[in-house]
Amino acid sequence: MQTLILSRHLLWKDYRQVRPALIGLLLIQASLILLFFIRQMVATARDNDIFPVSFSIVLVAPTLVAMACSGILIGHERQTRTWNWSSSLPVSWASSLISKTIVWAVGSLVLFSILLALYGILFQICVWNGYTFIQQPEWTWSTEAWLMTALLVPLEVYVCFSLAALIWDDTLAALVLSAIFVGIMHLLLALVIPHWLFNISANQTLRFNGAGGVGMLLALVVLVGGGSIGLSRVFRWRWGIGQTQQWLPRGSSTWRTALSQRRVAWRPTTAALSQPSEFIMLLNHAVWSSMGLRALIVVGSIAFAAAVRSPAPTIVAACLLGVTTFSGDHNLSRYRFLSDRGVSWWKLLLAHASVPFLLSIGIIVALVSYLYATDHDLREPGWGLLSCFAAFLIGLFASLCTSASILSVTLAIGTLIIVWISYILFDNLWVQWIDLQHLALAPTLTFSTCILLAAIMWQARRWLTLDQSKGIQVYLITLVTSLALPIFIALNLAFLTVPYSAWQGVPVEQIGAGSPRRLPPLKIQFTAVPMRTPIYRSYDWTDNGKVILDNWATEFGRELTASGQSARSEWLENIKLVETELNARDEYVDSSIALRQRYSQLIETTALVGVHATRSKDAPLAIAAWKANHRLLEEIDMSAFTDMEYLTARWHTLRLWDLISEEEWKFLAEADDVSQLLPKPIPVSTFVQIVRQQYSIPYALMFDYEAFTADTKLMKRFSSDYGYASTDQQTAREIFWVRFALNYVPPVRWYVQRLMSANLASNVNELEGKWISSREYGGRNVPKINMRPMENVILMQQLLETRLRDWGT
Amino acid sequence: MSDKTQKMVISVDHVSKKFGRRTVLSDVSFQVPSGCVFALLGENGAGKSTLIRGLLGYHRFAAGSVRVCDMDPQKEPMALRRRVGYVADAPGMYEWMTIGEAGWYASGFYAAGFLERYANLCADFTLPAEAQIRSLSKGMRAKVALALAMAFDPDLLILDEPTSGLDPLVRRSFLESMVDRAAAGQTVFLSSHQIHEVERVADWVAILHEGRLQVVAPLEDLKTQVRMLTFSLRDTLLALPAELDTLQILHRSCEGRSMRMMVRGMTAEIQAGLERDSNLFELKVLRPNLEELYLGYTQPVDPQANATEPQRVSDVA
Repeated sequence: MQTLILSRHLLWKDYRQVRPALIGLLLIQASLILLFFIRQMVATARDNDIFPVSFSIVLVAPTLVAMACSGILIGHERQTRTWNWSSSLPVSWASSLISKTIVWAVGSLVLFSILLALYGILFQICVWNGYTFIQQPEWTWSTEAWLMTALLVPLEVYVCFSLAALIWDDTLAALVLSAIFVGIMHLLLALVIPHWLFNISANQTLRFNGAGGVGMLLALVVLVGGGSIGLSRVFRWRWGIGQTQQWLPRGSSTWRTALSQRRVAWRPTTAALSQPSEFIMLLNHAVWSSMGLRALIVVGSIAFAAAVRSPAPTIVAACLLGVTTFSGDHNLSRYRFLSDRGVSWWKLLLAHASVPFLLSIGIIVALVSYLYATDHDLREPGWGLLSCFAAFLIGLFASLCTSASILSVTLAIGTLIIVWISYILFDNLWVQWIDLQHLALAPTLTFSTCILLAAIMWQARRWLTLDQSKGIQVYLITLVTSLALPIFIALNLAFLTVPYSAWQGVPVEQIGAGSPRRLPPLKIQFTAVPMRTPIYRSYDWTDNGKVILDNWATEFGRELTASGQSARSEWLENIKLVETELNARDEYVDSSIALRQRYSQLIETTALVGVHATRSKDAPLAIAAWKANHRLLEEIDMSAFTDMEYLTARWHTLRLWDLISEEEWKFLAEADDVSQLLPKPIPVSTFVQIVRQQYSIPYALMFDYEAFTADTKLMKRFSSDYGYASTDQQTAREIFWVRFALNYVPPVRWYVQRLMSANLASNVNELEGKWISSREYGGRNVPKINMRPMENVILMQQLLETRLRDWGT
Repeated sequence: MSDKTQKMVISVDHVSKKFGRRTVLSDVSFQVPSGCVFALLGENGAGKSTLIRGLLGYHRFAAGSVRVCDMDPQKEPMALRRRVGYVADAPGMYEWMTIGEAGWYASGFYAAGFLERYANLCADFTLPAEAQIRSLSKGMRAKVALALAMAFDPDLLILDEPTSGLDPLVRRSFLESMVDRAAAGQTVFLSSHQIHEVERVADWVAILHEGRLQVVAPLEDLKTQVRMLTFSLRDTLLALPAELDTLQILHRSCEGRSMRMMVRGMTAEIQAGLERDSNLFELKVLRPNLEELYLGYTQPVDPQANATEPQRVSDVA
C-alpha cells in the first residue's frame, strides 16, 4: 500500500491520459515554427525578420498545455466517469490534484524546452545562412514581464480552466466559459491599470515601470493564489460528496422549468397532428443540443471580431461551432441509440450540422454587415465565407474523429492555425509558384473543401456503424491530402497558366533590324564611351550558348578591327578612363537604376573587348579591358544594390572567360598577373541576399546553377590562380533539391521555363516602357522588340532561355 | 429476525435525501449484519444507487446518519475505501488501459498481494491481460470491474447491478462465489433486478419503493411468514371471513369472484377457519417466491377490493 501522498501509479495514469494531447501540441507548434523557418529561407527583402515572430509560439506552450491538461485530466475524466472510478479507490483528493498539477508542470517544461531548442537550432541556421535579425523583442523584456508571461499566466489558465471543468459537466462549455473569464479579467486589468504602469514600446518591448511592475505581479499572484485555494476546495468537494451534484439541479430552477414549458408549448401536441418525422426530431435535438455553449460562442466571437475589426475571430468561432456538432454524442454513446433505430447517416449529418453551420454563416454575415456599415474597407467577402465554411468543416470532422472534446478542439484549432499561418507566410510563394492571385486561390480552397466534405460523409457513415477505430489517423490523413493534393496538382499544372516566351516566333531579323552599326558609346557617369550591340545574322537555337557567345564575341572583334586603329586607340583610352573614374569616386554605386544599367553594360562591353583583345594578342587593350571589367565587378559587389542586369552581366563575363583558349590564356598570363584580372568570387552573403531575398526561386535557381557551372569550370581550369571559397560551391549546391525537381520533374521545369520567360519579358517591358498586344501570345501584353541599347540584355535573356532548355535535357 | 448482538457492517438510521424538490429517499433505516449476502431490490428510480452512493460518502444525506464498517463515510473516506470494494452500475474505466494496466494502476493503492489476486480473478473470468478496455464488451468490462473490486479482499463488497451484462454461466458462478465470500466472513451488499438469481444466494432482502423501505428481513423469515392466498367467492356481496381481519394484508388484488392476497401472520387455525367458510372455495395457501414478494410489496393495492387498506410494514431486524 502506498503511504506516500504521491503515487507513481497516479503520475503514470495522468501522464498517459495527456500524452496524445501533448504530442499533438508539440507537433502543431513545431510545424508552425518550421513554417516560419521555411518562409524565412525563401523570404524576400521585406520579410527579413519573419522567423523571430515564431518565438511567441514557444512562449505560449505552457499555457496551451495548461488548457489541455485541465480539459483532459479533469473535464474528460468527469465526462467519462473515470473520475468516479478513481475516486472510489483509496486515493486522496490531494494526491490526485498534486499528481495532475505535476504532470501539467513537467509537461509544460518539457514542451517548452523542446520547442526552445528547436527554435534555437533554426535560429542559428538562419544566422549561418546570412540572416541578421533585428534584436529579438523578447530578449529585452523585464524580469517581471518574463515571470508574468512564462509562469503566472499559464498558472492562471490552469487554475481557471480546472475550476471550470470541475463546475461544469461539459468540457467544451467549461473551456469556452473559462476562456471568456480569463479574457475579461485581462481586459479589465488592461483597462483599470493605468498606462504608466507598463507599456509596450515601438519595438515590442514589454517593460514595467517601477512599482507598477511589482504591483501588477502582486495582483496576478493574489488572483492565482485565490484561484488555487478555490481549486483545491472545489476539487476536494467533487472528489467526495459533490460527485453527483449538478451545477443546475434537475427540476429545481425556475429558468429550467420555464424553458421546458416553453419547449412543450412550442411543439404541437394535439392528436390531430401527425407524428414528427425522424429528420424533424433529429433537427429538434440539434437545435437544443449545446444551445447555451453555441450562444456563448456566437456572441463572444461577434463582439471580439467587432472590437478588433477583423473576421478572424469569426472563423475560429465557425471552427468551434463545428466541434459542437458531435462533441457530446461520443461521450454519451448516442451513436448506439441512433444506429439501433436505423437512422441514416446523411439525415444525421444534415440535421446535426445544419444548426451550427447556419450559426456560422450568421456570424460572418453579421460581422460583414457591421464592418460595411462602419465604412471599413472589407475586401473579398466571398473569400471570408469560404474560409468560414472550411473552418466549420474542420471542426466538424475533428468532432467526428475523436471522442474527447478537448482533443477535438486541439486538433481543429491547431489545423486551422497551421493552414492560416501557412497561407499568410507563403502567400507570395504560392502566387509565384502556382501563379494564382488571391481570388484564384478560391478554387484551390474549394477543392480542399470538397475532399474534406467527402471524408466527413465517409466518417459519418462509419460513426453510425460503430466503426470508430483509428479516428485520429483518418483525420490526419484527410487533412494532409486535402491540403497537399490541390497544391501538388496546381504546381504540376501551373505551367498551363503561364504563356510561352514572348519571343517565340519572333524572327531574328526583327531583333536585328534597326541596330546601329556603330559602336555605341562606353560611358560611365557622364563620360560617353561607345559600346557594341551584338547582331545576329543567323538564328540557330540548337547551338549551345557558348557558340552563340563566341559568335558574338567574334562579330564584335571583327567590327572593332574593321573600325581601324583609331577606334582601337579610342577604346583603349576610354577603357582606361573607367578605372580612373572609379578610383576617383568616394562612394560606391548608388541606387540609380540607370546607373546600374550602365554599369552592367560596361561590364559586358569590357568583357567583350577583353576577349577580342586577348584573341588578337593585343596585350595593352586586353589588360586594360579585363582590369576595367574586374574593377567594375568589384564595385558592384561591394554595393548594397544589385539586380538582374548586373548578375546577367557578371554571368556573361564568366562565360566569356570560358571562351579563352589555353594558348590565349598563356599569352595573357605572360602579360600580367591573371589573378588580378579574374572576377572575384561573389561574397556568399551578398549572393544570398541578392538571390534569395530579392528574387524568386526560379531566379535563384538560374543564377545558382549558372554561377556554379561557370565558376567551377574556371576553377578547374585555372585552379592555381583562381582561389574560390568552397562555400561558394556549397551555396550553389544548397538548392540541389530545386535543381533536382527542375531536371527530373518535367511539369515543374516547364513551369519555371515559362514563368522565367514571362517574367523576363515583363522586366524588359519595364525597362523598355513599351508594350504591344497580340492575340498570338494569348492576349497578354508582350514587350516590343527594338534595338535600343538594352537589346543586348534581351539577347542575353534569350540565351538564358536556351540554357534552361539545355539544362532540362 | 437477526440477532442484535451480531456485528453490523452497515447501519443506516433514518436517512433522507432530496435532489431539489424531489425526495429520493425518505426515512430509510436498516442494518446489515456481517457475513451475509444482502440484496437491495427496487424498481428503477427507487433510490437504490442514491442510497449506495451515500453509504460510500459520495453525497451527504439530508437527514439521518450512516456508519459503514464502523466508520463515518464523510469523515474517513480513505480508510473506508481500503475496506470496501465498490462496483458501480456503469463502471467508468480508462479506455486506453489494458486489463493488466488497470490492475497495475489500482494495485498502487492497496496492500501487497493485490496483483496476484487480480490475475487469478482475471483468469477465472477468462480476461486477457493485454486487451484494451475500449475493445471489451459490456459484460467483460463488468468482469474487470468486479475483479478490481475483489482483488484486495475487502471486508464489504458493495455491488450495484453487478451481474448486468454477464452471461448466465458467469452470472451463476459469480453469485455462488458471493455465497462463498459471505461464508468466509465477508459481507456482500448488492442491488439487482435479477430476482430469481438473487433469491438463490441472498440471506437478507430489503425492498425499496419510491424512496421508502418496504421491508428488511432475512429472506427465509419472509418466506416463512408471508403467504399467498388465492380463493374464489360464491357471493361477492357477502363480507369476507373474519379470520382475514387477524392477518396483516400486504397486498391484494381482485378479478371478478377471484381474490389474491399476500398476507402475514397465517397460522393453521386461521387457515382452518378459512377453509370452513362456506362463501370461499378453491382456497390455496402458497409460499411465495421472492419475485411474488417483491411485486406484492411494490405494486399498488387494488382499489376495487372491499377490505381495509393493507398496511405496509418496514421490518428492521
